[in-house]
Amino acid sequence: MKRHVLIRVLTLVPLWLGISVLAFVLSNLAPGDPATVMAYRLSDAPPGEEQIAAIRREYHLDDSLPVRYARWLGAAVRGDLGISYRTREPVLNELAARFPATLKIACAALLVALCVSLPLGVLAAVRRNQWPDHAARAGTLLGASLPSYWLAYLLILVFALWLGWLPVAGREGAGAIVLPALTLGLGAAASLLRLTRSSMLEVLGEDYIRAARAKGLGERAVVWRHALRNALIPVVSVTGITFGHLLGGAVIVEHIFAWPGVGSLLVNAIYDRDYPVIQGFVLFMGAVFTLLSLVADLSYVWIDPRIRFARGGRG
Amino acid sequence: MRIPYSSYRILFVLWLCFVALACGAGRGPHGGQELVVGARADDYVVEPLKSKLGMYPLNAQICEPLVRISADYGVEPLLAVRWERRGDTWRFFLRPGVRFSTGQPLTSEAVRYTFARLLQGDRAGIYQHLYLGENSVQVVDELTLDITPERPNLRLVEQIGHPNYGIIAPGTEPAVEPVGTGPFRFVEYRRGEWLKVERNEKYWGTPARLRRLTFRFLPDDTTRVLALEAGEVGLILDVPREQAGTLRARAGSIGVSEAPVGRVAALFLNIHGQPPHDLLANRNLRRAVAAAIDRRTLIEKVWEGNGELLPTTGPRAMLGTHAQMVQGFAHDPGEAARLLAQEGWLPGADGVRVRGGRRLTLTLIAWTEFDAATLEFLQAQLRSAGVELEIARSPDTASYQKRVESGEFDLDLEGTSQNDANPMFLPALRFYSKSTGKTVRHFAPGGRFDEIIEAGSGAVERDEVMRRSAEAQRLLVDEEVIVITLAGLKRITAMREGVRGFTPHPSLLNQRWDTIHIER
Repeated sequence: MKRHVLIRVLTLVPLWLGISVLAFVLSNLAPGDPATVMAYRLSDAPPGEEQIAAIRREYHLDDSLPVRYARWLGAAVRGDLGISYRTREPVLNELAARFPATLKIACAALLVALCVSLPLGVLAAVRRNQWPDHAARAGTLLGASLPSYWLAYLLILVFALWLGWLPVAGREGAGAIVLPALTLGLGAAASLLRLTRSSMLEVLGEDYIRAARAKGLGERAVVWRHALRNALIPVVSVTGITFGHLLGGAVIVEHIFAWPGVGSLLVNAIYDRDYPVIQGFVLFMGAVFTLLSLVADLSYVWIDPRIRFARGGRG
Repeated sequence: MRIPYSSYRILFVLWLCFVALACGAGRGPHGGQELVVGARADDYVVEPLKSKLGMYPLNAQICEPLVRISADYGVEPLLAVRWERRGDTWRFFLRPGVRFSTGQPLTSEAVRYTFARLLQGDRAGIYQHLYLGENSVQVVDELTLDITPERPNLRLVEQIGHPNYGIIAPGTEPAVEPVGTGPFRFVEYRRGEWLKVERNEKYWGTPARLRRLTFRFLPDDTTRVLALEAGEVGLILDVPREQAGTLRARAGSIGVSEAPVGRVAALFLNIHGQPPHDLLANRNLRRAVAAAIDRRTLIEKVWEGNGELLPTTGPRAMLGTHAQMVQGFAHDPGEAARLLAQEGWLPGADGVRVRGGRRLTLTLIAWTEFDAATLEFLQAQLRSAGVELEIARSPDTASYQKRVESGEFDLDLEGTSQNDANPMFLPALRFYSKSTGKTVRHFAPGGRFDEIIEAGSGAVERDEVMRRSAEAQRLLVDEEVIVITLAGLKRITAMREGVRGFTPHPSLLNQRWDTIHIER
């Protein structure tokens, strides 16, 4: 087990190096010049050559790509992700200031996803081919196919405009998290519900479940104590990945709900060709995502003794 | 099988939690003399020395420039009560008794400090626009100062009314806290969320009627409209035109106001392009393109009436009585066909005109604010004249800028704003061959046009400047057809019942908030 963990951790190093190359190359390949964008923002008029040249010098944009990459990577290894062209703040500070907002929204969305998907997934499995199952499957289809911006507007209309229960946008007040979390969480709930249902169905057909029933255990104990525990193994693993997706995929929700997280930071950085922020974001989110995948993998091994023993480890 | 009762119970408890959370959610305050304004995305530069927080691009009237731009683009005294020109020097006399919101008196030193800071932050930009250098601003006495641009600049007074040149208190840095003399004082800024200001009780003029004003940044157009309908904000800026009709239908609870034209949508034609973007070097071809476009239908059908037929390249008010010198174009498909045939472009098998085996294909690029419907309308109009229009959409401003600088286009659809009172601003900036602007080389006609610009820039009397600007625009539009004006764009603002005293300024940057009050 320890060896397995060590190998998985070591594979992260080349992975992160690859992410850094991709982040750097892709952001620099995008058409457009950060100096020109900045000059426009300063002057309210098309800038002149001299103005742009001065900003290019200031941002070291005249250096070659390899030189800039080496400088950036060298600093990144020391924990310095550079300075934002847009704000002149350290990128790490920018991410640190915005990440809690995204983390909050992602956690709330995950909670929504789990609260919806686990009970309904179990219900759909135990009531297979009855109306709860059909309703859950229809809901899954709807949740997976509804664009998040459409769902967001729908929720705003119902809960903010018609019922007046929740604010339309912003972060003020306890209720402000509800609509963004529902928007983001319901999409994620669809896939988790499907997984929970299929996993439960598989487990409910196992011999040990039949044995439990034959022993005269109540249905509640069979479902909740024996079946659900084992059915949750793949769900736990996928939940980690889903959380990563929620962290990185909140861009549209942040835009609609005026929620200043890392998603909107990235969008603004892309518009402004703020290379240090784009690179920093990709590297940071790449690291978070790969770490979450690692944790999910390890938890899978930890939760399911069959895998642990098959690998010859004893934990 | 029965579902365990406990799972229903869990769901019920979760639902109760949700409802409790929801009911606890308060709405943003906008009672009393407090107004929450829904603005677009936060685009303030927050870098020290460069920051114009509270001034540009959203002007919260924290700082005031030396002069004010009126709604008809005239120049009115503000922090300067009068000014006079002495050779190449402008002498400004400051308003006595004015204090910054911190209590410091306004002196010439504050003006010197403001321009010195601007030069430190963006030396090249300040020089490009105002020709100011290190020693351009000299303090004469406490309330008198001289500004001597490094090159003669007779348009200086008309330029410095732009909120970019708002005067800040000596020793302060707007990136930290903007301190000005305006009717509002800075309270709080949270990046991407809001800017809060409140009435400056030490204001030298008529105090603002609002006690508190909050600008909430709501980048999504639909969210902004929904926030207004829900009563979360009292006023929203930049209502998307497709939603203006819906809001107008709510007469009673929501009012919609249109600003006079301060922005113009126009096609700029690349007259110096390299193959394959060299076709519009031909003036008859340019004239044919202009005649092929039915601008009235564009305004009425595509823009749902939110535009104004306009021949000039900027707001009419900038030209005074001389605006009539610019005629513009009539929609005349017959004339378009005649001109194209005259140049040897004859209809091909698919209707697109051909000459010597070359198809009449033009490339259109557009500023990102223009939607697909507008571009497709132009495409269809030109197609009916036998001109194939390829649309090269840019996903964002940076890629558009790259494209327009490269010259890889035939037509460039832009929305140009007039934010200062200089009638020569747009013609000089975009078409004068000696301008430092990076895109001038695609559009500059040179020769007589440059002479007009030089004469206008050097004119003393404002009426003469307007006449020269009109002359320049006539050359660009009627004679050389380098600019095809499509329409004047109307900025739409919507507000809830009870918001009074809002007078839309054609230039959003010069919008006044101090006249607004809430009536219950």
